[in-house]
Amino acid sequence: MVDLSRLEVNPNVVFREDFDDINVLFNPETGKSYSLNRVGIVIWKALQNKHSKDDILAEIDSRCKNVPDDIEDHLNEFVAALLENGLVGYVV
Amino acid sequence: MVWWDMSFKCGYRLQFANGKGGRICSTEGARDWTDRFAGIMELKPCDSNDLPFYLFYRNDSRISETPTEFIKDTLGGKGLTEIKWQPRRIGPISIFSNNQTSDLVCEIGSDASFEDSIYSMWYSLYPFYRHILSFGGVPFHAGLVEWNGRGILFTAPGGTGKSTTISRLPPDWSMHCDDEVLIIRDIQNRYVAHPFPTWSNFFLNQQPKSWIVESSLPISAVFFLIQAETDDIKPIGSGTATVLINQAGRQILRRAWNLEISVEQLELRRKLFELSCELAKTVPCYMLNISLTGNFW
Repeated sequence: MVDLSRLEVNPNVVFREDFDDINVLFNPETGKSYSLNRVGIVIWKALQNKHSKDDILAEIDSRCKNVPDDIEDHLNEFVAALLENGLVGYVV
Repeated sequence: MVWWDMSFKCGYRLQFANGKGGRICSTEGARDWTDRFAGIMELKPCDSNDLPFYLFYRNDSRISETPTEFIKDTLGGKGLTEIKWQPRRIGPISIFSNNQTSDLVCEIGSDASFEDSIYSMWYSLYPFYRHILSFGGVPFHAGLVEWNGRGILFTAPGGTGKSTTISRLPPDWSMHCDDEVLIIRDIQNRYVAHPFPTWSNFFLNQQPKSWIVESSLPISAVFFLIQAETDDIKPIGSGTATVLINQAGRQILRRAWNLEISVEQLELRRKLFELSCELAKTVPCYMLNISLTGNFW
């Protein structure tokens, strides 16, 4: 289970959503780039604003259609991937 | 006359289409090295004192030179060992820079073999790239081809067939280089590419070859090559192009980036990414699928 209460986005990461095809997260520490879909953008921005897990789930529910019942599992999985790639981290 | 007098006052000019660049100067001990370096890049004698200098000197078991007198004369009595000159080891060379001028001093060590010499030349371009990055230039792993006065860039990860593809283009396509370019905005604000040497070629084939590095071509398109079953060409969006351009830039710069990331390196990496975004939004980019047996050849 991912604990979102102490989670912060990596301040070095660059997020760009001004392109005509994909949105891009760039981590200069690793040199790797990632593409986010629309739901990913909602989550990323919520993490930037330090929203709680309940707030993020509510945000997804209000802004997305056909939200699956196991959305919390998807959110945990997504945040775990962000952690694994150094895009977010825990405040020590 | 002192030993450094003629070398640093003349030197070679390495100036790009945005007016930035430097004077390649040397001490007596590094003269043969800089002559060969300038010859490979077809640099002309420098007739301007406005460009910052890039001074090379030799420090190895045969010759030990420290251009303290030169540095003192040029920078008002402040020597190489003073704190404002920051040393940095990059591969086989040491670069000294300072925070007051764009001047650079480079110590080349032992280049007992031809390969050592080429290796140090290859690395010595990094400070130039770093300098140009701050003025909006992007070092780029690509071949530059001219067609009807237009510059076309072909890029791909090593081993994909970039050089082979370029070498097989029809005769009215003129190859300027097949490995490395510097992309900048010229004084008319157009994106142009300067060709740079294929340094690795010297390791395989020691035949003399040169590139006119000060020449440049306006860029009309960038093609990203992919080995495929069938030939195809597709325009790509600016986000995808940004990621690919950034990767091609990193392929050039990462040879001088240490495993340990400094604050300065993070800033350079972010700068390269931002410049990649601008380039991707301005220059048309395409994915070029090439098969071994298709019509491309």
